[in-house]
Amino acid sequence: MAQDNFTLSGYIRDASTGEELIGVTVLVDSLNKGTSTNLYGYYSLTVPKGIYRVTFTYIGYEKVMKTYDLTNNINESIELSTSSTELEEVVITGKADDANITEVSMSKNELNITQVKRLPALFGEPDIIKTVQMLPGVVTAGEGTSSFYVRGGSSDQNLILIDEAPIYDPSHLFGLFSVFNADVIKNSELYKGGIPSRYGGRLSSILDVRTRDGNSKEFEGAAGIGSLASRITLEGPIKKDESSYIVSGRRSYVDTFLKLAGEENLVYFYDVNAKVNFRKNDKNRFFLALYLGRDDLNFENIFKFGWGNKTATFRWNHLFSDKLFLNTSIIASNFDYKLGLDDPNQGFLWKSDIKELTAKTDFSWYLNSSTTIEYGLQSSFKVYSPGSMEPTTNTSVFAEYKLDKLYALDHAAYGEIKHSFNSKFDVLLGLRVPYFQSIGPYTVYLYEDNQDNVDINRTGELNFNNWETIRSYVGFEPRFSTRFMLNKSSSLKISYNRMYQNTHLIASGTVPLPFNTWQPSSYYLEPQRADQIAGGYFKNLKNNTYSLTLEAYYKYMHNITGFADNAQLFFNEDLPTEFRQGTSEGFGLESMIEKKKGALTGFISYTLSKSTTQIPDVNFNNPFPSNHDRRHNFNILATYEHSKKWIFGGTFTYGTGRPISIPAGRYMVEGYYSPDYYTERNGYRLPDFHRLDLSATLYPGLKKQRKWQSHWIFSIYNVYNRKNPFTIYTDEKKDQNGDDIPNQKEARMIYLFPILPSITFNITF
Amino acid sequence: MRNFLFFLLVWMLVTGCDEAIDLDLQQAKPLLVIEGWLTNNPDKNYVKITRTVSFYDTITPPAVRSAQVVLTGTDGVNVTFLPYGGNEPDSMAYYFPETPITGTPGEIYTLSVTENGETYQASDTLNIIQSIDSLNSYIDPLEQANPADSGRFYQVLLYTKEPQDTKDYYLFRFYRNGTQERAFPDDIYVADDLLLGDYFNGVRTPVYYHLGDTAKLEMYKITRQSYLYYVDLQVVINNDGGMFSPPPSNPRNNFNQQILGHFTVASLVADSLIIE
Repeated sequence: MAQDNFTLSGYIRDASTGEELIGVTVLVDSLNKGTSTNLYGYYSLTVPKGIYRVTFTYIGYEKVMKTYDLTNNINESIELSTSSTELEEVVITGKADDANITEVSMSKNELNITQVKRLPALFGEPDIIKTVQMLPGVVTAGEGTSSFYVRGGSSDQNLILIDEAPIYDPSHLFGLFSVFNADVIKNSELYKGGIPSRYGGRLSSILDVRTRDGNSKEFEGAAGIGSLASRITLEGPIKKDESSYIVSGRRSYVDTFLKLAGEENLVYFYDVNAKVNFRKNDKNRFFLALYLGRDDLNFENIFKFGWGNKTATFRWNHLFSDKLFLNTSIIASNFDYKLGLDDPNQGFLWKSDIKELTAKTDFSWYLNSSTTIEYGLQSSFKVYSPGSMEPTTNTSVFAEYKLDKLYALDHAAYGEIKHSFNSKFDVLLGLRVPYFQSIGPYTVYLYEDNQDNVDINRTGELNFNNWETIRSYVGFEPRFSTRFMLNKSSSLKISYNRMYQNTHLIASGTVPLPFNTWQPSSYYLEPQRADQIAGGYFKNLKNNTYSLTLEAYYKYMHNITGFADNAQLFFNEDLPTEFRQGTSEGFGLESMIEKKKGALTGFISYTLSKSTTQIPDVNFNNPFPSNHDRRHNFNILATYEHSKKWIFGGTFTYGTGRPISIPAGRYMVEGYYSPDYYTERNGYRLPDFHRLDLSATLYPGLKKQRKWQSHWIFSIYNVYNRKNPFTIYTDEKKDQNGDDIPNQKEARMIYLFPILPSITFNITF
Repeated sequence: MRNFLFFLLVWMLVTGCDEAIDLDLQQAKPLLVIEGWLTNNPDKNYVKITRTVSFYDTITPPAVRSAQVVLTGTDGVNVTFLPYGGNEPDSMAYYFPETPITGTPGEIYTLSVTENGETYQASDTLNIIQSIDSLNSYIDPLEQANPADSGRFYQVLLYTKEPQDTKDYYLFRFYRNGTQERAFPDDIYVADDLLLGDYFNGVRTPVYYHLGDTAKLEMYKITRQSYLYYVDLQVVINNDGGMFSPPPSNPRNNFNQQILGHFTVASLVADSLIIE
């Protein structure tokens, strides 16, 4: 007998700002069936005809319970109010209390922006990347960088998205800060494994950052004055409950410090985020989001250096029916850097950029209460300009010079089905198929031996016309996750994913720099591939107050892009002779205990991991520890709400030192230079890294009823003033006058930050 | 690129501090280091043979004086190099040709060194070099405002053609009153012509001079192989431990076995100027 099924669907929003909420749990109590809102705040649930009590829960918000008589389809948007006890109950994850065990997805961390803002921060500038760097399975190269390394992968293997647009370099001031302004972030998630089929293009992780839409009910603003940068955010309705905007700006003033130091130098960065959205009706929503960020460094008006990201995202969310949700996005992204010298005889300007334009559609089809299907298509056009140089004066010694641009088309189709077999057993099965074409115009040079970077003999060339395919690569990326509930409070999960990466970073240092360039897979570079299997045990204790996560992973990476020893990566017309693609392997154990409720919240995590790399012609073809191979990583992150006036925060991090190559000996050449001589790559380790940071947030004058509120954040970085290793270099040993002592060398360790207090003043109005 | 690395060094020193630390190093087997030079100037030709020492050793890398050293060329040259006869410690490792030789453009020269029963061979080509049109002096206003050494703010400007139909590689050396000088202690001045136009129209050279100093400039035309050796050497000398720069490795050289050093064949021109 056919059963009549009806659908309950709609958006879920914050009652005070109108902001859509991502990941709200919707549960039909009597059936014990549920769903959660998607990345756009939409949910859809299909159940048999009947009368049901439905609960909408989201940590930090008042629970809403409603009763529906489902005799036809109901589309109703729900508004949730922030819970009045918010100051006592800090949000840790944005989801329902036990989502971590009931969801089929694993190896995923959500970053709570409220908490990030209360944690101690370098120079008082809250930064989600610094919190990402503390998560289990993530390691860093040290401090003062915005790069991170996920489960044995290198830092170019992370896809970093802001409103779906890729960010090629997330750093400000060489990584002291990241490009993410905490004031505009709504939601950010890091996927380390079991990566959903809608994401692809990088091997190791996805950091998906979504910005806020702006308050659609009333005007509000926030501003902050920090020791290194200041911020202001304005938002409000254009038309109440229908359209809203948000604009935020941030600028640093490092240069003023340098001016005080008597230097005519300019060093600054800025960010602008802007977004407008328009709800035509509940079936059609439009968004336009822009990001613009730039660093400019200028030394004595002679040496100039700048880089920045620009992104734009246009998004249309459409409901075909209560069960079929469509997101269509058009995304543009541009990263560029410029370097120049002002000089009559040696003046030059050097520019490089990477641009891409993407169109994509994503469908979510809520088939019934047990099955959800997601599928979609995307297409990108990418232009890589590795570099062009022009003389800036007529008398400059430099000639105009351009390296050929590279063009690529990057398509992908995916489909994924999520099914609950019963209340215990969920399976997610997906497939993503990337199809990558490197296309003309381009000239490929053929070499007698393309692995010989000294005696380069070109034997011919292949010329490709506009749009003509140079090489095309198709990949099949199976994705699989399953969850088995052991009991109401614990589950086991297993996942497997394959990822391809067709964008290759051209850099051989440990930490990428803004003046690195990227190249597509093409005639010489083949797609990089990663296979990862992970398993985990998830348990919640004390009514979901504590959650325990244990995960193990193994990752094998094939064709990872490396370079010959002594590779010349800048302005090399014969760059393919430097390419060496090899393999890399990583495995690890991650454990985390998280406290999600109460005055004290935070987590303790420990990761044991190992990562090795093997690159042809490097280290005598032997495997060596990856640049980011750090065996033990232990982190504590906590915030404590002492009262409505005071909130305290603290982080502690410990990690095994990064591997480094150190000399086997030294020698002398030209009767003058004493170079080191090396026998092994990464055979040594820097000393251990550990650091404690503390913060206190003060809300003065809470009792006063006034239009604006303020708070102070006091932060101490590196509380016990540990000299943490940044790197080691060698030099001639110096005597007391700073002169070289003949025939003596020494190793010197660079360390960055001593104990650093900072104060930030914030107001909201 | 050098600008970048220098810039990064400045950045790290602005934001950080450094201190000496002790590395716990393994003893490595000493390796032979052979440096050979053959040019169109008979006074500039020599071979020097030493060995590596441990990183923390405080001795001069030991001289190897027992090697058989022979240079042959496609122009029929066949000369034996003999160990230097004197006993000044700094010169013990040198070998000089039995009879003076002058390299000829277009010819290929091969160095053979036999030591302890092993023969090490390397070959390199002598390329033709253009002449220096002129040198001139120039006051650097920034240096004059704030000179590192009092009164030293004159730079030498170089005028010379750059042939655009050949791929050229250059090595420069600068002398002040007869002593070789560098702007920064670990500088090596090499360039390829990829980004260069057809004329060095008064290119500022890096060393500063005092009024009355004698400035001398040597310009060497070297091969790509030699150029890469010097670039690699520069990278390894200025390495930051692989944080931003590539992980350190030994410079590529033209010897047929795994040893250190290089055999460089070059043509050179020189010019000098009294700063006034």
